[in-house]
Amino acid sequence: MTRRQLVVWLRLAFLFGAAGALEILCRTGRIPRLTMIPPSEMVEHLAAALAGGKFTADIVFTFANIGAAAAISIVLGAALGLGIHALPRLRRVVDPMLASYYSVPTFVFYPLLIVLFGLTRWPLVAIGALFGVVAMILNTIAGLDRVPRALAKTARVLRLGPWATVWRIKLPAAAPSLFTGVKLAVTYSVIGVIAGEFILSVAGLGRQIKFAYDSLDNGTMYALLLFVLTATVLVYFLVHGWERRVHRRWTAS
Amino acid sequence: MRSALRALSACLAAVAAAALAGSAAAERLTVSQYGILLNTLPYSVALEKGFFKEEGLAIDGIIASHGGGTSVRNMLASDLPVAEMALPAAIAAAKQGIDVRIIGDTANTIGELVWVSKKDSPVKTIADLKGRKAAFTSPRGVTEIIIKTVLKRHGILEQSQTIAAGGIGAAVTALNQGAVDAATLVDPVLTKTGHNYQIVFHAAKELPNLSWAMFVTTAKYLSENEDKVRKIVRARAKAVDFIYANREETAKIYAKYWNLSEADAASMLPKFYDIKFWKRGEFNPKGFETMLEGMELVGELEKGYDIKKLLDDRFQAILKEK
Repeated sequence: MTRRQLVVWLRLAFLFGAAGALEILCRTGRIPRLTMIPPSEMVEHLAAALAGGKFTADIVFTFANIGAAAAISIVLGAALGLGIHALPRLRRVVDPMLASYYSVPTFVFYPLLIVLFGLTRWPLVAIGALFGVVAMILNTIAGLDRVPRALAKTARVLRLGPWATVWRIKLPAAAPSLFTGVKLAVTYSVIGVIAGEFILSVAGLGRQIKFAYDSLDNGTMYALLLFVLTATVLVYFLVHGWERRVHRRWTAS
Repeated sequence: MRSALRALSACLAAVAAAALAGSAAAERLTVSQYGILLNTLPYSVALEKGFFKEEGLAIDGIIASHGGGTSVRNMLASDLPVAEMALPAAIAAAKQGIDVRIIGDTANTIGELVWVSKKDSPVKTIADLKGRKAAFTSPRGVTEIIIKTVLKRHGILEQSQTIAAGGIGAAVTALNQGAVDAATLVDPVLTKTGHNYQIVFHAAKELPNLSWAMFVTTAKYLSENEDKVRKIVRARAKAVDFIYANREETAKIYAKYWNLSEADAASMLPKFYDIKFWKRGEFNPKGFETMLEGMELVGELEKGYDIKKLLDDRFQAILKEK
């Protein structure tokens, strides 16, 4: 067994072990039903909900918003990161603000976004993007800081223009940090959108989870929580897999 | 570095000790929509006038919640599992196997809950809601029950759309954004901003008999702490009597706890006295009937649900209306 396979098995063992422990605690009443239902029942409720199509529209609504928010975070964050890195004076001005950004409770701006964009999906996309963009900016800057000077000299020797230098030299060299930024941007977009739906939304999984919580409908609530958790982890591993393929291709060449 | 760490540890320990000491002495009641809906005014009066202290209780505050399942969870998580919550929440808890007991019915009507439309809207009466959208707060909550019961009684339930906004503020936002044609509104927001809207209907006029706010505890807590619960019930009843006997002072307490000017508070309260809004807690069978009918309508309850198994009438003698 390779080291990587061992890690995968250990991960699975941990996951199933934790789920098994929860199952026992819930079934024996150590964790009351009002607090949590057994994981096996969560899976049952989720399967029934997905088969019945009850939450299909909400799933599409939420993940479309997350996709839009993540795309905006990543593209805008990378662009802003590039711009800030290229302008040292600007960087000195914004560095403290970027460093303290996540101590600001961004959700206080959500009602303002509703006033600006109306009770539609766009305040949710905006709050998701606001949450994710700075992670992408910071990781873009960190990645560009680590680009070896030799590569920049090589670009000058080859008489590459500024955009060609960025596109062919700097961004590929900064790829590890950029991928970290992408993973964080996606994660933060999920948090921003789902939490925004808890506060106020016309549709979406966050809204349904909130209603289920209010109605003491633990079956629906945990089924949807499990769905969000599983989907988010899947997306994370997809991005991670993409990162590994890119890394393998570049190190091979 | 070491001395800084020592100082930080000492501070954290002091903060933790203070928090624990504070929480050990005092208790808090859970009250749905406290500080928002006026049925919760007796608790402010009881705190302000020291009625809880008079009964020898250590209640020094209220845990406010948005209602529904949140109130049930807050009540069960609290050291003092006594709460005021909406009847649908209490029944939902009972159906989940929680041994709730209803010990009082705390409001005569739904009070000043209205549905409003925008000033320039063509929606001026209930009939105008035909083919249009009306917002309520939470699914299967009191406002959904009211709007659907009213629409059904006017024969337009099938032709109208009702939308769950998520809260009173959210419902008004939806109205202002044009997402709905009518939304629910209560005081003090109604009095402060009512001039921006037109009233489509008053819930209390459409449904004059509605038992919706309940004083609740668990059967276990009641059996182990009957005397304490009796004292809480008595303190609240004293507060209700005070409200009716001392209008001016009640307005001042309302202003203080709801963060209003005394003039605003004094202008809002008279209509609640006119409809004899607050109750000591006597059960109203007709009111239960209307509410259960509404709960069947929204799919929250099966036909023929027996509410009597949740009612505990041991304090009804104290709670008889004067």
